[in-house]
Amino acid sequence: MDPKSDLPLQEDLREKIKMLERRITRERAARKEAEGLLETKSEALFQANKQLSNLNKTLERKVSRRTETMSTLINNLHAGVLLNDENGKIILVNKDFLKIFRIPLTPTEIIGLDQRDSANMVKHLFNDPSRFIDIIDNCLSGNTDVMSYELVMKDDRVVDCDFIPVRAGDEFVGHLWQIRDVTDARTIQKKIADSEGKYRGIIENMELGLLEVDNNHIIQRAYEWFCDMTGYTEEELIGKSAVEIFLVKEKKLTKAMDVQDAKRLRGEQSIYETKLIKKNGDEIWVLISGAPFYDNEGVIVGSIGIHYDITDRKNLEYELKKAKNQAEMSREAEKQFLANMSHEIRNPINAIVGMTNLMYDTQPSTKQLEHLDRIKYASDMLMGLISGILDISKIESGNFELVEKQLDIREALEAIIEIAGFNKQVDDVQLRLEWDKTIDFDIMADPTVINQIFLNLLNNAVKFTHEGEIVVRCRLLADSEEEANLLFIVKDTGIGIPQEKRKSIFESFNQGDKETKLKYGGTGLGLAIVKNLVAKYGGKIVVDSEEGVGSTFQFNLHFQRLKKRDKSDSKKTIFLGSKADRILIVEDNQINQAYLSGILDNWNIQYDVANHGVEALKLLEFNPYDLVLMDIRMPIMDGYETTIRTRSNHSGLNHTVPIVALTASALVDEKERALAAGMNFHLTKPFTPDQLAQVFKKFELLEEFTEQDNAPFDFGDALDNSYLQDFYGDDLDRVKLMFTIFLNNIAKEMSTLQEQLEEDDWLKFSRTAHKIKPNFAMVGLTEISELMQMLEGVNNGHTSLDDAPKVLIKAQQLFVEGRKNVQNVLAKIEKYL
Amino acid sequence: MKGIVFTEYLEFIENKFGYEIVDKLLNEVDLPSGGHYTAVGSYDFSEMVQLLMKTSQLSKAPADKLLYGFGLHIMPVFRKGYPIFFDGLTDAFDFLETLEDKIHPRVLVLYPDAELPRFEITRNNNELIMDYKSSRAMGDFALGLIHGCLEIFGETANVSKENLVEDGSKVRFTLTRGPA
Repeated sequence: MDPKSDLPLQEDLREKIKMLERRITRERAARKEAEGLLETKSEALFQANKQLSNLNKTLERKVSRRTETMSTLINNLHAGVLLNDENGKIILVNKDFLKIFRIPLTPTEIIGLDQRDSANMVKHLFNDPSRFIDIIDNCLSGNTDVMSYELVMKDDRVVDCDFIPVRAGDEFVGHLWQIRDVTDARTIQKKIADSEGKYRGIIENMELGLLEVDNNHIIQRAYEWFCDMTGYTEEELIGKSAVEIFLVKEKKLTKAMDVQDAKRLRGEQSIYETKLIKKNGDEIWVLISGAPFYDNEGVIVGSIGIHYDITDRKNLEYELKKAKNQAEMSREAEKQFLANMSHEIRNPINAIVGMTNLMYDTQPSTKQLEHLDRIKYASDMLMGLISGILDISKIESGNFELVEKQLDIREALEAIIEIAGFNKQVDDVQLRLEWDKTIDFDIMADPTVINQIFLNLLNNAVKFTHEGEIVVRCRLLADSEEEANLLFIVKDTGIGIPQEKRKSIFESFNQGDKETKLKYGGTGLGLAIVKNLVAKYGGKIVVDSEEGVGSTFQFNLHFQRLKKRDKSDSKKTIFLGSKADRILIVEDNQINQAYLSGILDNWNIQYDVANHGVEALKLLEFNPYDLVLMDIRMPIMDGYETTIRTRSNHSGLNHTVPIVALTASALVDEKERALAAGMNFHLTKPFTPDQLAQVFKKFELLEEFTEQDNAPFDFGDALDNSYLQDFYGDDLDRVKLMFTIFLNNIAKEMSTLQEQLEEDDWLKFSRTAHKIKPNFAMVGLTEISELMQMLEGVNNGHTSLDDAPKVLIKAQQLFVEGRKNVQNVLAKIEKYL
Repeated sequence: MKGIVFTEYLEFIENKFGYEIVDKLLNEVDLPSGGHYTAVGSYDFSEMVQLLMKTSQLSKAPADKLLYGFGLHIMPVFRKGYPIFFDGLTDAFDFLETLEDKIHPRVLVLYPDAELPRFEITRNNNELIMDYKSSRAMGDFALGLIHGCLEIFGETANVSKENLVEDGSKVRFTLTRGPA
């Protein structure tokens, strides 16, 4: 070979070899890299495997735990459970399942058995074994719906069987059997059904008509009695609107039905009354108890009404209402009558009583004196009766108003006991007060009420007690700063009250018995008035009594308590200063005119007097007044009309003048009528100057000045001034009371004394003189009182019988004069008060 | 980019131009991986771009022609390496239709980090529209593969290529053939 030509060839070859070496190096490097990659991948694969295996174990544990939970759950279900696979092989069964079918195997032993074989084993337990087998076959034949059967077993047990196909995705993998023993539930259902039947029977046999409607009143069901009640058959009613068929189209009733509908939709039940129209057109009243009823989902689908025919009751109710209205009307008439009687009868009787008293002064003959006594007795009796009736009707109608003022209750009781003492028939009877010293305060009370309570009780006690004593006891039961509860006991040693009468004595017109009425007289109203008045002060009265031994009346009264009045204060005289220019008195009664004139003169107030409304209107037209005192009952034109005319004359001088009504009746009705007519205030006759002053002050027509004044009332020289001032202090109310009682009784006593002298009944003569002796002293006729003491002495030889007639004549002469003086002083006191 | 693309590319270049060109490529291009590729590894796409550019420079052949040729080359390799994708199929269109549904998902099972192009394929009897989408913009490689596929099934069809965007990242291939 040519080395020269070989040279490039060799060079070329060397290059090629080098290139191949590079290629091999590259291939090796690539192989190394591939091997490295593979190793990394293997490592990753190993780790992944390991993780997978761990995950697998965790999952297995989870599955096993869940399976355990599941099988515990299935075992503890209150139902028999069996699971078979798609080939009918049993996979799982619980204890309850074996128990229900009485299979003597454990759950593990039965697994793997064929479902059909086991069914054959238990079919004898069923009432209808072939039906049971049919059901099992039907299920196992691949029917994929859920099926439920209720099967009855030979031992009367009832089982509920559910066959639930089990799927994994789209694939059918077997059945779940759920078997429940529902014997108890079925028994209860049967009992409920029986009970429902029973109550339905009861309801249908009661006179109650049941009707079921939907929410639009469309009748769903009408029960037999309802059909009987309304005259329809059930077929005629179903599908019709109950409201359209039955409801009477009166606005009130349809409105009431709307209210009921709304209640029903809120789920409320209620009872109401309404009127229904029967098929024959008659209307009946029914009482309906309506309640909503619900479907299975708790939605209100309608209501059920129980109807009870109350037509008879409604008619009766209507009659009663009519009767009640009539009764109320006659009660109204009665009230009016009483108000009139107060005005029309009291005045004439007052005249009779007054005139009779005057007649005693006309030196009547013995015969005439006897007649006078009877007139006096009868008219006093009549006066008492009328006052009693008026009082009781006032109290019972609630028209009685308390007029309270500060009162020293002890002083008041002492005075009352003194007054009651005058009525004593026998001197042997002692009256006394037992006082509880802890009562060291005054009270707020109506003195008239206190007088009436105690005078009634004490007059009774005096009347029925012939020997022994009458005690008034007072005790503090409880008190606070504002209030005191006082217990009062009036105890006598009189004839007593029979057991059977003790309750009724507090009723109006009820006395012990007829015999008592004949023997003792009286109206039988006293205790009824007491009972009502005690109640006015929050108290209660009871009586305890033993025939022939005595009676005890016990009651409590609640008062507002006040600090004891400082007696020096009461000596303050109140001066009144007038701020009024001129007032008008409209009054037909001249005595009342005079009374008012006297008061106004004292106050230095100018006034005009009109005798009736027409005169008043004339005066009102031309003179401006600061106040009008207006009587109500007057001839020609009464107070109401006069007031209305004055008020309606808008341009008149006295269009807005204050008008005060003066009425004879304390009935609230009259007061209201007066205010309605346009009067501003109301005063009941008789009123005191002080009450009138309060009214003037109210309208700012009087000013009050007070000044210390120690001068007592001057009784004048005709009576024993100093004795009276000592005896009464400044208690002129009490003076007035005592003087009045004296004037009412003393003439009779004096004639009694005269009779006893003529009959030479010295014992009685002495007693009478003794009894009336203090009466003269109390009115300041000290001289006569001393003469009486002399006459009293005839019985024990202190005074000779021969002197007695002369002494009596002297006394009678003094009495004629003294009596006039007492009357004058009384008039003065009344004017002063 | 998957190592098989690199190993097959070098194989294709060796077949076409001889190992000398391959040797030159690997000597002259500065490759971060060193150039010792293995089918099971993964390498940066920029190395493929470097290799392609250098090949074009050395061989004077344009890059798109090279990519097309490479596509044509690699199809039989796939046929041989992954016969399972071809089993039971006798029709190129049927095969191409399975690309997104069957082939690419399996690739991802083996190589979860593989970055594959997306195809939207619409078949209308004898027309197949394949919308290609890839940030690599290797539409010519895909064209080679499509033709390679037609060759494997012994079919002929008219294949048109249309850039949907300028940079070639979205390309529409429309295959039409005469009625069967």
